[in-house]
Amino acid sequence: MDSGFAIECEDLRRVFRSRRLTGQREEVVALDSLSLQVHPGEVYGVLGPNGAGKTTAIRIFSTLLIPTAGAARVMGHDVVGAAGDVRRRIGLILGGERGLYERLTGRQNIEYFASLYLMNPRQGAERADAVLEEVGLTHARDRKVEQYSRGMRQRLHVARGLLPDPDVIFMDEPTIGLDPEAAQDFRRLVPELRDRGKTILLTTHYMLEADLLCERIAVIDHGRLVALDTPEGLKQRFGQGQVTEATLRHADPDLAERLRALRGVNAVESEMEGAAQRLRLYSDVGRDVASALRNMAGADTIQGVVTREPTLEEAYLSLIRETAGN
Amino acid sequence: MLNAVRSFALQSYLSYRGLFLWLTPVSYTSNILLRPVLAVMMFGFLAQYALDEETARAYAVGLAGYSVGRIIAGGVMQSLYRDAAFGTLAAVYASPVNRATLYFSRCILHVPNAALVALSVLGSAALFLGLGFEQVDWGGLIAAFAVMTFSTMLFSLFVATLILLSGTGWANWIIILDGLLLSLTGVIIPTAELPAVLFELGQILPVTHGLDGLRVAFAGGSGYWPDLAREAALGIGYGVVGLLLFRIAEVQAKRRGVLARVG
Repeated sequence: MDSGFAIECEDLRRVFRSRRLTGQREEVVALDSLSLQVHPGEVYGVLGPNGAGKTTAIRIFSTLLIPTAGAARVMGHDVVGAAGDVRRRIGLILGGERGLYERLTGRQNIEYFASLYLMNPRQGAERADAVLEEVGLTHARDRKVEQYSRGMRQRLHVARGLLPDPDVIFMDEPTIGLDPEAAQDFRRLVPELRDRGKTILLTTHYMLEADLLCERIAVIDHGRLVALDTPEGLKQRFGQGQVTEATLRHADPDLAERLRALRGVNAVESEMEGAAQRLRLYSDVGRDVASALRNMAGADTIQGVVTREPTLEEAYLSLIRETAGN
Repeated sequence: MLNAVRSFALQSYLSYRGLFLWLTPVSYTSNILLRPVLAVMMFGFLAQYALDEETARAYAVGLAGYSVGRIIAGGVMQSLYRDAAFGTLAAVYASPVNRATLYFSRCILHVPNAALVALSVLGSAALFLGLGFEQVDWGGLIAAFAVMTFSTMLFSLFVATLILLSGTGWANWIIILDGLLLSLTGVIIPTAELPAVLFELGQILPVTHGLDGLRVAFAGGSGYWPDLAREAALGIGYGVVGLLLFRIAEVQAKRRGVLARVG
């Protein structure tokens, strides 16, 4: 059945079973009735706390894990029943320092995987050079991976994922360990890949990255989908209206409490920076919190006030706290 | 077809370079050259001192077969086990490579090591124990080493697959296998002298029949083919069962979710 989605799953469930030393059986539900649909050519983000099920989902989509229940398809192919067809269409980028052949050079690593992707040696060598250039590793391609820094290893992971020129790319925390420059290069690469028609499913803990790159974001927690929207949509729905940030020259211990009592103010965060006090107020949109703050603290005490939209990170944290509360 | 062969050759070469950790000068020299020579010195001199020169030479021929099996087992078992240990197995399993190609590509380049080890043992036996080659049927001798190499390669892949299935360490298995090859295949103790159960166990180990054939060829006889055929058949059996188990190991890893742990 081809539904037209590049990636989709329905009621996906994965339970990990283990046995303790006492003989007692233990079950961990990593995914619980997860359903997602990703359009072809879309950059789709998956956010969630550690253990939420992000990596489990990617491993199921990339045929490395068999679901306990439910169905998952990539480019119309079932990940269990037609795993071979799925593998021919996907690239997988896993984060971390492991997963590479340390004794081989970067180029040999890619050439090895090219042979696993059924490329002849000449094709493999050409493709290896191309993807190594794409990730900025040409200068180190003939160096053994054991001499690579963490960032270089991560670039090599990315190169390996791009190697088969796949229709669908799964990226599991792809910028973990990258220095800011390399991470920025990577963030430039993702839109280029999307423009080439690639579908990308990306997990990350960097909210800025998700905000910048993803067209839609699914937030999952305890294996369940808790929100799905565009980055802007998530900010509006879960970002608690507007955020007013202010810095006070001198701390006022009672001020946060008094601000919390104001109508339309949903939450107040306060932290000390030396003698100064930083305040962050979450309030309903349109509420003039800045004026109220000036009146209460005194205009001379306030160094600066800024009112802005909530960030994706704030929206995400609010959503996760709300989910935990429920 | 040619592309498939080239691809297989590249897989064999790069997996050998990437996963066979005895390729450093010190490890390679000690495992391929020094260890076999020391085995000849230890067992050969012991036999010469305690028994007679003829027995010492017979031990040396046995040690040649054992050393071939041992070096192949060590290398081939590493090549599958370390894929799991290095965390590369997940990426390999996510590729569309033919699993049979993947499986058998992990053993081919260990063949030259077997040849070097055989030369080390026979050379040192000639040097230290006066092993003579006047009567040798060279065709039979080469065939015997070739068949033992073949069977131990496939047996080692089979054992490596058991390691993947069990999630245990490589070092424990090589110690056990080393002991089994040395004691049950007729290297030192004639298999006929073993207790019945151990005799039967020896019959399903690689090297046992190949060594019988090798001894016939060494004595200049021509009746080595039945033994070599049994040795080859055993290897084919381990090859088929091992490949089947390798497929099962992949499915099991995906079902149990252990690829995240080992790969």
